[in-house]
Amino acid sequence: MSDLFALVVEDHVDSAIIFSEAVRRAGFDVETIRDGKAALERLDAVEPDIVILDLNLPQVSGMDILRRIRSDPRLAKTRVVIVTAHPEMARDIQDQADLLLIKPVAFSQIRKLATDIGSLAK
Amino acid sequence: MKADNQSVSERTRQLIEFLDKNEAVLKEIDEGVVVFDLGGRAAIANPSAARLLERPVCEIMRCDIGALVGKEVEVDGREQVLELRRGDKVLLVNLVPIHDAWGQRICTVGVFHNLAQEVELDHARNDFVSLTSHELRTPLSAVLGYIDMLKEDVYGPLTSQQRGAVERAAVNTKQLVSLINNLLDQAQIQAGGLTLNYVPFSPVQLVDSVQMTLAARRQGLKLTTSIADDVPAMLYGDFQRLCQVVTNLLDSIVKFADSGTVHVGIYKPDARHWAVRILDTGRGIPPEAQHDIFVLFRRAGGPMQREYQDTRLGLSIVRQLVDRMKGKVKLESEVGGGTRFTVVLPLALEGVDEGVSSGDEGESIGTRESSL
Repeated sequence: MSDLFALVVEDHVDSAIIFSEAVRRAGFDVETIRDGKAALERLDAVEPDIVILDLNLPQVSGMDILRRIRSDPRLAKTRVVIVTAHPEMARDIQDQADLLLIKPVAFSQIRKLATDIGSLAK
Repeated sequence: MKADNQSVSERTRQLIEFLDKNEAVLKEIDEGVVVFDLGGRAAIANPSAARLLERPVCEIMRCDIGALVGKEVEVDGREQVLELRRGDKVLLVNLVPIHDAWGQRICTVGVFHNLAQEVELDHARNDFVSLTSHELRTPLSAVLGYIDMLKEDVYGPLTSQQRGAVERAAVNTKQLVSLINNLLDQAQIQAGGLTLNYVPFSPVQLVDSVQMTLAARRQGLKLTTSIADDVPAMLYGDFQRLCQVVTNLLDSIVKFADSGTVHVGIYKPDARHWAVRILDTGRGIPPEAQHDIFVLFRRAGGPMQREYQDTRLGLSIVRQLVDRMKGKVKLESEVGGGTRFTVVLPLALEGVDEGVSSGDEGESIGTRESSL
């Protein structure tokens, strides 16, 4: 059982599978959530070390989720990695994210950065 | 002379009568057509002219040419092109003198064309390209992700044959990604939405970055590099875009060349410029393919060489980026004698006259060797 916990918030099924697998290989327990509203609710209960966040989500956008994380002192240590195909959407909030990745993103890139974040969190 | 003038006005009258009788033809034309007599007064106007000029035909008929285009126009034997703004509409006006068989001008035809349609179409096309390119990124990202996972044995070890197939899939998908990125850039440049981000950087960084991109993308290509001693330790420019310029040129040269060895050199051609030269000793580009090589869509002319078509998008972006950087790009190549691309850029922005426009693209790009 790993101490590291990651939340992958991504509505595109295949991207969610790939990102989850990459983060899992970096030693994280992973939970995948497909819509923004569910992600917001889940964030009331968990304190992920890393959130892989898509911006274009149903119901609640990734921007709102990022704002929610940044306004909660309980989640001060949570690293947020935005992965998006629409970098122009992130213009206003990218300073609040730890990293902004533009699709296509390599599997190994996510795995490596999750490994780095994991070693910092331990 | 008097008799001559009379016969001219007689012929003008005959022409106008003829056109009047054939009104049906003029009615169907989408362009506004107004025929002016020798004195510059409107003699015929079609319904499209009324629509575009936003005044009824009978009113147009009372106007002279100056009143219609809103400024003094001297109607003479020359063909003239004017741009006319009506609210948010932009009209292109072609004034064409009509001569009789003896070369005597008998009237002037004004053709009014609504440019807004072109501008709108352009916007629509760019929006479409931008939208689809973004939408393509997500599934492409997934394809690359699964390829990566296969390569990293997430689904178990691969046989060497399977590994080879996965490698080929990866190479081709990456080509697709670079094509989409180029399409997006092209749309962005065309829409005027591309801003350059000038930062200080070292020439070593540029060479390293290009080498890394190449190493990540292609096996088998040997790259040698050089930086001349008199090149300043720090240069100023849009680093990301410069990398893109050099990589696009490398991509093109790789497609033209068989040699597998390419050299990238940075040097200082004169006191106010620095330059990147990308050259190989491959088979070279035939002269007919060099023509208009930096132009994406060629104007009317001979058939395009299929072989070089796929490099045009990348090269046209190079040209447009270099133009924006107030620089010049040129190509020199001989069949069997290798290929050489040179990009010359100003060392300091202060030395650049911001007011200089890059000129009419079709014309300036058409010349294969830009003046340096």
